Amino acid sequence: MTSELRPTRRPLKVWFRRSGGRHLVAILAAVFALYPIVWIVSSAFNASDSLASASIIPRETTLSNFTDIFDSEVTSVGRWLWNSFYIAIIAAFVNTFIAAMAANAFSRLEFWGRRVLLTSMLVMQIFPQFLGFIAFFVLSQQLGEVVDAIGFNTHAFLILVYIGGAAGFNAFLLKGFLDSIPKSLDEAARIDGAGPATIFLRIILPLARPMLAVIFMISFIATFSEYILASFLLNGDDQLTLPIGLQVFLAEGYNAKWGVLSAIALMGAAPIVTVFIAAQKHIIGGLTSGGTKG
Amino acid sequence: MTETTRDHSTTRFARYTGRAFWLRTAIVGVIDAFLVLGAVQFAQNRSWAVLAMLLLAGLLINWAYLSPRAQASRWLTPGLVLMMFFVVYPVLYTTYVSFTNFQTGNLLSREQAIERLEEAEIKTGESGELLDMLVYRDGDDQLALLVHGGDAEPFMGVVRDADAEAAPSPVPGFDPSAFDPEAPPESVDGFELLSGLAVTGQASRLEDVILDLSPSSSAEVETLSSARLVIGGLRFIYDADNDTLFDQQTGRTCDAGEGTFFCDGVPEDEVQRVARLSADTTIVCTAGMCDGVPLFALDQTLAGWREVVGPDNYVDLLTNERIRGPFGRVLLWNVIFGFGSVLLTFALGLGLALTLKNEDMKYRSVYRSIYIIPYAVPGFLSILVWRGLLNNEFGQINRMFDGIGLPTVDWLGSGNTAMISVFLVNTWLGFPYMFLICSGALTSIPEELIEAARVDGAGPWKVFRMVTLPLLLVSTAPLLIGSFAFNFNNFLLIFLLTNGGPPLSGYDVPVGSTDILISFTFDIAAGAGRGSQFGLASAIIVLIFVVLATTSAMSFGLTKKLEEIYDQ
Repeated sequence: MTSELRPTRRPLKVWFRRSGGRHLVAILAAVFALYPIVWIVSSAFNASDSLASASIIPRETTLSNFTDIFDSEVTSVGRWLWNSFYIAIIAAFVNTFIAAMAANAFSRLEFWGRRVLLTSMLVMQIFPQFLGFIAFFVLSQQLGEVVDAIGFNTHAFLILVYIGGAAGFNAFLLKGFLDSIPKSLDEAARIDGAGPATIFLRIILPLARPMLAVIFMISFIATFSEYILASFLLNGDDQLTLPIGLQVFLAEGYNAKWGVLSAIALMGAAPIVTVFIAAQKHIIGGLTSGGTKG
Repeated sequence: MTETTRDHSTTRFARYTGRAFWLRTAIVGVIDAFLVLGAVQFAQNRSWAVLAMLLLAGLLINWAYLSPRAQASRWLTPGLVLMMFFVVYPVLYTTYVSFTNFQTGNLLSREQAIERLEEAEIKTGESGELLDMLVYRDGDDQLALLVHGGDAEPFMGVVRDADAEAAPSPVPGFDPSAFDPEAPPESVDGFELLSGLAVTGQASRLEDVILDLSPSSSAEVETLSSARLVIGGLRFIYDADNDTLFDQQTGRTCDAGEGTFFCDGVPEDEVQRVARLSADTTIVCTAGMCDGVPLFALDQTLAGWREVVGPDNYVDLLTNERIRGPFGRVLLWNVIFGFGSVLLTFALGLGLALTLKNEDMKYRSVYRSIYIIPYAVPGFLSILVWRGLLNNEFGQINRMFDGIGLPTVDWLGSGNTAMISVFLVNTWLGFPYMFLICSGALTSIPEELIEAARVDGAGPWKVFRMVTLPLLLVSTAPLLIGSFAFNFNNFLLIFLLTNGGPPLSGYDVPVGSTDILISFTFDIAAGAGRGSQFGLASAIIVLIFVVLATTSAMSFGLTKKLEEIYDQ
């Protein structure tokens, strides 16, 4: 099936024998991939918003599912969305910055214990952080007895946990990227009188921007979807993050809440899908060199 | 740390005397002040682990930002401090908890638990017996009462107000054995017996007074010549010298043991069968009387304490039939689920990667973009949507089945179909990742190798099996192992799609057909109806650690990733 053999115009039969099979497989897979997506989109705009009355092409369309999300009398979904969003933004931002600082040291400085430290940071990341939920539960209560603001059922504690979680692995990913930035740039800046902090902020960080963006994205998505820790450390309707809130919200009456769920799914997914498709190359590079989606 | 930076010594000197240095010193000083303040309070609360980490963090911060020799650590300290608290500590603490009896009923420290027991009140008691009462008064106009009658021993003591704290204060000179109801003593220790008329004069003072007979019983004044016996008050008296607990309700003395007190000579019908009884808690019953009964088997609300119990949780997991059964079942399904998920997603991903391999194929990039979509949708949203689509009554899949004349299936409602559903949804979630890595790996296989095989007469299938697949496996093996480790702990999928269900009954721990270790553990720890069993949950988590460490060691061995790092 090499390209040289392909005639410029072919009868349908030949075309089908040559590449029709491939397209058939590809289209079947595309249908599978899009099946839930189609339902999300059509149900989000469907005026009759129950699961039972959903159809691919809605008879009547509406935006009420979207307005319901932010109507605090109907659901707290708007609140949960905001909680998840700001927790994930802060955690991802600080996490990326701290990882960049550590990566800078690993990439630019020689120091005693460098290998051991880098290896042990990687080894510790084998254990997914959420497995420590019992420890975090106890830790939050012990901290809370002394400092209310970072105790049990505070977003601040959860953010701290998330920041600490992936710092090691992200530092490792970033170190590889920083290694590819020529050291002669630092030398030149140093000769011009720049201190280490200036070099880091003015030269390294701007050059590492693509990789920083990828790490920020990965951290953001992982934090945004995190379930176990948030469910153990938060409590009370107003405090919840979106995954936990949705689970509670859907616990009774899945059928009737289908329209709102679809609207939330569409809103939650659309921005990320767009960014993903636009920045395919960068993100995929980062992901495949690392692990799987968290 | 020995620094070999290409730093100029003069500029370095300048940095340590300049404004920046003093500013940094001031900031570190403020941090230190807060750390010391916090350390004192954590010490008071006996949070030793937190205290130790705080001190370690303090040392690191001071050294990193004040010592002129610390260069790299200035960049590493924020990350290291956070990792210590939120990565290293959880692993160590979970391991520690797995050797304790930390669970509902044993959440407190020993001191707190004994304090709590000393506050426990007698729940059931006979009350209502009327006692005869005599009233005495001394020169200071203080009242004392003498009660007798019924089964109770005669008692004389000073009264207290109803809202005052209970404390028996007997009149020392009163001798109960010499007491004769026909001829009561006229005077004891300065207290004079009041005549009927004089008692009437004290009537207003006798309202609402209580005579404490013992810590657990008292007499409340009923009429001017009688008092009603009330048994109640505090139940236990702790004897610190012998480390025993006296149960005033039953008159038994219980000895301190593992996590609580254990009582002997308990009638068999008072002993409750509770889930918290671990394998090595042995209650010995002979002829209707039981020895070695823990307090919580008498009353679940009685507090026990947290302490190290050695490998009990692990022993429970492996030997207690009612825990081992579900554990084994969950472990088996977990491994099947992990391998099955990798196999299915890899097969589909690889198939699609091969299908789209030809660069001349039309719409190739359109297909690629479509296949990425499932990967980009946040997992919890798509899982919840799938749960709706698989819904038995209203789900689209069943309606589609119905539409084309197939029988509908209760996808999430029975064990086998729930397992199929889990695989279906996980394949949807996971195949894009496999597609991406296989596409990448395929392009790196040299075309000449395939050509050579073809020239040697190999058919397409043979080329795939003998050349493409082995080469592909070599380059993707670490990622496949990573994918196994990820799916092994794919909590979100199981929890949101089936919640581990449908549930299985007849075990000491909550468990369902599609539970994997981590969701099983979550339910044990979150205490689905039976209280949180943190110790047991931690033991399972430690076993998960072992599985992950093993798979990762395999992965590291395969990639030799570490050597690449060192070569940098």
